[in-house]
Amino acid sequence: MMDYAVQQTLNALAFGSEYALLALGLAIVFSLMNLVNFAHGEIITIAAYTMYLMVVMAVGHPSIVIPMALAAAIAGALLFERVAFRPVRYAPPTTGLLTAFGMSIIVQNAFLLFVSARPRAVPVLGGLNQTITFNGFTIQTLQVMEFVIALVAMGALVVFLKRSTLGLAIRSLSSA
Amino acid sequence: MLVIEGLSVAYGAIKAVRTVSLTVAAGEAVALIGANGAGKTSIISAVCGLAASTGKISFAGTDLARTSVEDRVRLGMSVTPEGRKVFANLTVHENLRLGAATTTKAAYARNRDSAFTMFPRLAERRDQFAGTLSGGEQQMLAIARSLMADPRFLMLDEPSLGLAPRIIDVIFEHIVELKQRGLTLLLVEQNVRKALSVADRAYVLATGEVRMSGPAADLRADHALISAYLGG
Repeated sequence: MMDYAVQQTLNALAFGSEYALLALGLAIVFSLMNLVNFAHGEIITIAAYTMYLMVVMAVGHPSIVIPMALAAAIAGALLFERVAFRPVRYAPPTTGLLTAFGMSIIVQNAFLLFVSARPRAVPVLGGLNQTITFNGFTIQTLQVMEFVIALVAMGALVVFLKRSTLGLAIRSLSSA
Repeated sequence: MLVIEGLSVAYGAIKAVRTVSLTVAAGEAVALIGANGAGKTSIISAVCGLAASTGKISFAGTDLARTSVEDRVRLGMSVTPEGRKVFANLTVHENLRLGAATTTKAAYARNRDSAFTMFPRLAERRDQFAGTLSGGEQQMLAIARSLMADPRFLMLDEPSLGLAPRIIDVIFEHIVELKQRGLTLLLVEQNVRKALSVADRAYVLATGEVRMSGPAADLRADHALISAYLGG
């Protein structure tokens, strides 16, 4: 029973880290602009489908797939900003909420139309899916990476916001 | 150091500044006085590059028509804005760091130390959020922040606004100190007596135009002027 709890705690930590990582971007935008970015999930979706497409095209190595997925997410975010947020920058917050929602609907339906309505699976990229066993507990290397990357990303964000001029400038504008 | 010729600033149909010309020589302290809505702050905004304007503004021999706000700061001008505008969510220390955005690390350390020497109160509260400071302390922080850019020329917009008389005296002592340090000053004030007591020269503005100008001592003696434009 105890073993089961520990194993599930490890799994939960890894899974929670993944969500924390996703929420980080949402939190920055919200604290800075008072905007709930409904299209944030779509940015992640763009990155995920980029991975899927690359795997389908037989480019499966993590050192290519991961940077490409990141690049796609960045490109998506820049596009959203240009199309949906910049034109309404000085409008009431509800306007940004609506344009974000609109963006989200457009992207969701684009993927429905051009990819599929069914979930697509991306095989765990080569080399990342080893199982480590210690003291009878099993962890995937992917889970360890999720946890470590979430910690590093949060730490890096704190340092950026506290130390860099750009980070201070961002905080100077945030409302809380 | 600062030469303004035929400056006009309009917000839509409202003309806030109408063909104003003024100069500030190096080492001089010039006061810009006038009632609310006379166009004082609009002139400061135009000099900073924050308000669209027509006419010519040059600083230290450089025409500023195509100079960005940051580059104006790099040329050696800085501003203590009206209403202090400290970053309430940042600490005293972080406010000073943002004031130094255009300078080197070495200059930052030097300017921070001299700011803390000038305002020991800020040194005591360096890790406190700026929003929790008193009005007088916020004004000190706003001045200290504007000095972090290492300016030769400092514009102070209504440094006495909303402060108790005793605190105003303290702030003006610091302004005199800055002048003695060799800084060129452009002081915008509604507190006419205070402004004329530290300035060498002054311009009197009303409805966007220069109505009078001259040595501060002469304007101080001109009781008619003071009652006519400035209400006592």
